[in-house]
Amino acid sequence: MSLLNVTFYFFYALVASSALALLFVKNIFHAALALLSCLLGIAALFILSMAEFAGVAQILLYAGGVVILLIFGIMLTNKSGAQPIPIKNTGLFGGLLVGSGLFFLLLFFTSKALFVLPANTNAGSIEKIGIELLTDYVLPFEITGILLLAVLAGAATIAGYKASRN
Amino acid sequence: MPIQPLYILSALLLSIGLVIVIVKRNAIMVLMGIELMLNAANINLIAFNQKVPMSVDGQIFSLFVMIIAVCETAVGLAIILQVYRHYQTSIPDEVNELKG
Repeated sequence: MSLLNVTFYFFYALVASSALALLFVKNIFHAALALLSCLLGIAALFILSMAEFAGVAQILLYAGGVVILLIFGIMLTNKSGAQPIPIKNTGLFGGLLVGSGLFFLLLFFTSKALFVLPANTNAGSIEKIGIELLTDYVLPFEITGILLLAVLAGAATIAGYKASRN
Repeated sequence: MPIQPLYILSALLLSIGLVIVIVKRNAIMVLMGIELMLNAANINLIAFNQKVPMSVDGQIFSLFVMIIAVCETAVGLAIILQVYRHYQTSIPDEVNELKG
């Protein structure tokens, strides 16, 4: 078992255990921290899977953007100051039934599936991603810019405080 | 790296995200579950891209998925903040003004 495999399964166990912790944790701030460790572990798995650019983007967008936004949201919707918000569950039996059913169904079908893949691996370089983004994928790339502008304006408009409301 | 463990992990993350979306009584927790499900899809894209030489389609798709996820979180949190200001709660079940 090489060092690479040990590293891979370490981050694998980190991602799986922090996702399970996210399911069972009671304090919502601890849930945000569990999500953060899960996302960082996924970034490490991306880098080990020869996708360095996706790993760095994962750290920048998720760990740097989404989790910080979620923590701001938690703090802004906290009614009682320093008290942690407990998370309550509803319909636990049905939810767990649906989730475990989906998991074992996916396990069953992926174990039966035959993925015909070439044997040799080739790392996609960052240079190649840049060329593809500006040639084959230039239309979705530009539409993404418009989407980001719309989201920026929309989120600021929705969350903005309107003094005349009350 | 082997890809079979990666898609088992992806199935696990998708199921946990679905359970969180169904079970948790907090809007921010539901957003976290959605993020987990989108990440499960990303893991699959990266894992299968690793085995296809001379192509980075999977990585580019995962980039677009990440961008959409960030947009969705921003707008979702803005809506949750506005709902909190109006109803003084962030629990979806307590926002029941339209319930007959």
